[in-house]
Amino acid sequence: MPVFALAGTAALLLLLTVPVFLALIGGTLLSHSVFGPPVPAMVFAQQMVQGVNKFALLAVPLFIYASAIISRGEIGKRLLALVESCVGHITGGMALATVVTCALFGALSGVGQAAIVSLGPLVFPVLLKQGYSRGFAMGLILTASTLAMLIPPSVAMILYALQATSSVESGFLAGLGAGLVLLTCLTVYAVAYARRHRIPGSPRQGWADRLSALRGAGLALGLPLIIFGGIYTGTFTPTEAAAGGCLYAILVEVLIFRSLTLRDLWSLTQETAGTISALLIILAAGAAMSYLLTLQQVPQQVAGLLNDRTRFEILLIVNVTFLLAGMVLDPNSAIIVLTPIVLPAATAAGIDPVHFGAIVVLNIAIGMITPPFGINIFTAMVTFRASYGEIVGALRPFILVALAALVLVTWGEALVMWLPRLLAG
Amino acid sequence: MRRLTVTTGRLLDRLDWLVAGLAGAVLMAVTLLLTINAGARSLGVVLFSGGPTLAGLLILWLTFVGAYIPARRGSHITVDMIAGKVPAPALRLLRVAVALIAAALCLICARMGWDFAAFRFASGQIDQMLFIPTGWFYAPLPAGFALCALAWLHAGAAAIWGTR
Repeated sequence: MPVFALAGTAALLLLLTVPVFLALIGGTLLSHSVFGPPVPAMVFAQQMVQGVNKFALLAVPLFIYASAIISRGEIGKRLLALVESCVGHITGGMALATVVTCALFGALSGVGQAAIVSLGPLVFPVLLKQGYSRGFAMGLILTASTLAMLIPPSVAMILYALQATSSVESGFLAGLGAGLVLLTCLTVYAVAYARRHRIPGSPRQGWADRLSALRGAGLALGLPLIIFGGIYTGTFTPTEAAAGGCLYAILVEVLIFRSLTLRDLWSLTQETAGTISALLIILAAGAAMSYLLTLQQVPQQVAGLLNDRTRFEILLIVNVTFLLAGMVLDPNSAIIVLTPIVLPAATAAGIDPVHFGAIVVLNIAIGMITPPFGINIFTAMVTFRASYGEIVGALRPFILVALAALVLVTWGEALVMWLPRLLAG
Repeated sequence: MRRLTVTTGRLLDRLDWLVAGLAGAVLMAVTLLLTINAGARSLGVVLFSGGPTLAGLLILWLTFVGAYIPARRGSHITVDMIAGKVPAPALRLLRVAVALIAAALCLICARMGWDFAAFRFASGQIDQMLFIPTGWFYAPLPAGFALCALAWLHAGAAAIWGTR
């Protein structure tokens, strides 16, 4: 009953368009005041602060900041030129270049929509010029942009690791495994599409051109080097790597590429600070809600309900739950709200929390491109000036491809876990 | 009332400028602080051992006080399934209702936060890294929620009186 009061109030407030963080707080306060337990309400204030006051969490605002900087700058353009010079000449090369560039961009930004806004306008006309249909081009860019949710440094994976109290570093590696599975599925589909429609590649570029493209993108490639080199050599924590990445992105975009003026940077910083607050306050509200749910023993009750289910059934339930949540909720909110409820049941069924994280994040990523409310659809409507119906129609085959990747990630644990086991023990 | 709403709106515009500037400065400060600290540590030098704690404190202020910025801009994350389908006259009513509910919830949170921050200040506990009362870690909560309540009260009044 207390759970229904919480969920019902929160759902009602959400439907009324009350902000997510206040809907969670409203549900929590009502459920607590009616059903208890008898703890003073001010402990929720304490939980809200503690939910945000974690050193590992500092990586989230900093990666969002870095993402905002490179989205407005030139790094994406230079990466695309490099990848196109290497693979553009093969059949389906431009589509392949799009997928790989989105993955590389994901390795810099960690935020799902950044690639659509930043790379979309660059890649879309080139794909059309080469003979790909509008639908295919939009679907490909939208789906490939979700790779940023998986390829480290993924903001969603950091949030999951914090909620699940598992290792961020292992989560990053599991996300990379899942990201590579999705990347492979997308690449296979893109090349098959190009072959079926006889779309030729771009003219082959010589080694001199490739070298020049590499020189152009060299500084851009320094960013993942700082982030991953720093983290996996043990020089930096993920939070420090995020801060270093931000400063590097500022130096490269403002001083070297000169794609941002100091005035642009200041206005972008203020704008991003607002975006970060809007996300972190949901985390604070989620912490208060999780605390109440723990006091009311809800995760244990959910685990009890799923006790008799097989591992296969639990994974299926988890997939459906997170996929639906990803369609309706903001991806990060879905992770913050659902992870503490579902994780105990999953671990009780013997599912590794790190593997579970990859499943959760991939589901949420697919939810972002799934109608009716996938958030990337609305971003794409603005970016490509396309109608809702056109984008949804374009996404159908890509959602099937992404679901195929989900099946592989969910039931092919080794595909995801070999990297964490190899590198993070 | 209409005039009061307009005047309050102008005052809040100035507050927006101040809060957005402070939030931007905090974000830049955290970036620099963590990078310089980590860079120095990799060279074997400990510049400021309280760096991570200070960064955490600054992010707490950014989270709660910075939440005022999206509250004013109407850019907090919402699920707007219904809003798009509501006819215009009902939409105005919905806006007023949402603003008042949001303001009420923020005031409750501000009160809770005030109680807890006051309790921490009164306890006399000192943070061992920054040597400041631990109450400062909880103070952003009442401050931020009070500002958000103000923003939503103004949004509600603006929706009622038809001003900006």
